[in-house]
Amino acid sequence: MRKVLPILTLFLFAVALILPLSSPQTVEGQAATEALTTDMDAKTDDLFNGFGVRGVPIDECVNEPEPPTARGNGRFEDNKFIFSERETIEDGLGPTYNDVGCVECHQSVDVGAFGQQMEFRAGHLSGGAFVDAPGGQLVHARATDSDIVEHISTAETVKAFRIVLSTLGDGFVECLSNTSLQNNVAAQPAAQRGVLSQVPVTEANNTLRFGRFGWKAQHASLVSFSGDAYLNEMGITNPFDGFGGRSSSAPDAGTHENPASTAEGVINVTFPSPFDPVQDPEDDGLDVLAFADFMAATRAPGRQNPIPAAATRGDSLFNAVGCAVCHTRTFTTAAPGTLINGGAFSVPTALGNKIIHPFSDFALHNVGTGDGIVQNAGQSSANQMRTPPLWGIRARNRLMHEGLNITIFDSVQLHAGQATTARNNFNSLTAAQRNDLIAFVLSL
Amino acid sequence: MKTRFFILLSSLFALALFGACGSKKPAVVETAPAAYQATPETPSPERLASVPAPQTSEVEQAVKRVFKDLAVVHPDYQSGVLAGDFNGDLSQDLAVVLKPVPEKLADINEEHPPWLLRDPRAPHNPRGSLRVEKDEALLAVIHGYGKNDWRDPEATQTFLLKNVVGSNMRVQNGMEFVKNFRLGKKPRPQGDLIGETLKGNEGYLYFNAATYSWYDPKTYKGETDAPGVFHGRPRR
Repeated sequence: MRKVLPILTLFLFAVALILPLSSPQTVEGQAATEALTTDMDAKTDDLFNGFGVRGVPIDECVNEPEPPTARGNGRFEDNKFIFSERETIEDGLGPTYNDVGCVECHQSVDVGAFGQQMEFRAGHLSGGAFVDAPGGQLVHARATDSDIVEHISTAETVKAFRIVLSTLGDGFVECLSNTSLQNNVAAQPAAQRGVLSQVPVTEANNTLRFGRFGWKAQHASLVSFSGDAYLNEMGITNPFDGFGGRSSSAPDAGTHENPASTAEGVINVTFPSPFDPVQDPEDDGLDVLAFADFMAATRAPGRQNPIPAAATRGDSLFNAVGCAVCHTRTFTTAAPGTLINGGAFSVPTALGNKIIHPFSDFALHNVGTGDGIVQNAGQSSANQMRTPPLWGIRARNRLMHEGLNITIFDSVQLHAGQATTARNNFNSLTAAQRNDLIAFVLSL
Repeated sequence: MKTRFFILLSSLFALALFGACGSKKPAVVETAPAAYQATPETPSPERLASVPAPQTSEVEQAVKRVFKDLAVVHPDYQSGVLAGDFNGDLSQDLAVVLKPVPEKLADINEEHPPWLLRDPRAPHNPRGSLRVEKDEALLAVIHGYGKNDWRDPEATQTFLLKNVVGSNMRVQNGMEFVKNFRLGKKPRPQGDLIGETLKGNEGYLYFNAATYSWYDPKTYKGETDAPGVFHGRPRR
């Protein structure tokens, strides 16, 4: 007994020493570090940023991918595979949809990045207010049955195309706190100040958070964004597909497949209509978690390497001209362990306290290019668009929300409204300086 | 001795346990945005209650603001000065026929001029192939900005348009245009149009999808799709 006591004491002592090491650590007080970046070259295997477990590339002949059951507990390679899968009617595809899988649009230069596809939205004005087209403002390009391919009426006078955005690095953007975004716009000059939209986080009982994803900043979390896209781009209903009209100005939109607006009128296409054989929800939500975690685990787009001399010269001009007022260069993500998304997500170590360079304030502005469409930021947002992040812009050649501009120069010239001063400053530069500034943007 | 050792170990254990418990901090929760009051969006374009007609000196000033000494108001088209809201942003714009200064042709054709050179009648022409020619009559549309519309010192966003200077140039109200052409295919102008007779044909210049296009009622086949655009037929 006299020997057991000291041994027991020693054992307890060792346990007590190990205990603090096993509990979550915070990095409060530590200096933030630069986020990992991808070189934007699909031939380089450098997308994974360390969020969660990497796993091994999926070979369907050997093993099936497993989606996460909660955020962060899956494997990156499995999530990437699920992100790249093509959906079928048996999976719930359609009846109206835009494409058959995430990667169909988010593919260039690497999985998760850009595409040239367009989303088409339409509606009309009534008493000066935007109203969705019958069947919903999102007019799908495809359907599983020719009887329900959508066609809009000539009464829908507000029409807009929106090009695909990149999702690379969006995990870092998700981890920007509301306070960071708010402080940033508060520091902008009044004439250029952006508007942060407050949007519901589906997985947190529609708690409001500042929107940051999408052309209208209509999403604040990657799960909400993925759930919405699964429904609205692929027609697959899921537990995160949303309430409160995130994809529409209609208050009950987003809870099921929107009716199809056809030449014969508006047709209900949701289960159990003859057009939809799959009971809702068509996905149990795990695919949505896989999409969200794949995007969250991607690195941020990195700069051109090496950086051309002209781009180096143009770097300071970007600030001098005023571009950086809205195209904010740098943010730092919230500290690891911070509860975000209405408490539904804890900032992981791989994404927390990271310095990123998105070149966006994620706020809405009127720069004279508004599309007239209202989603979930109210009627005043009709002609406002979110400042598109410029990171990775060198990897796309169709610019602005409609993808109609093919040069940075044209895009600059089309900036008006709140960006008028910046455009005028750009035009005041010498020809050589303008070239340098354009070279800088094309190095992002 | 053994008792002392036991007491020392017990003390260390207590200290370690205290440290373990003390290291657990409550999770930091992101501040909700509920109290945020959005600042007013873009200052609403304030229209002048009564917009005076463009005066020659004001027009010359606006042209000089954008083109410096590279182009001047075309002497043969003194009446070719129109004011209207051509891009539909509730701010009055100026359309004026210009003539390039011959000695400055190289400058006006620089790679990145402070305007957008377009040929509305040949929308598929890549911009790179467009050049301003000597003695060419060009239509400049200077978009309005701020309280003073096209007269504002910051109003410089300009489209320089080739091959669209004709005769009988006039402003056509956009709303009336849409009302009068209820049937058949027609463009969807964002603002006012410029109607004119060009090479014997009546047509209209209008702004849509971030550029100016030409509408010839006799030959119009619908708007051109953006790259990669999909959309359905008009509803039957």
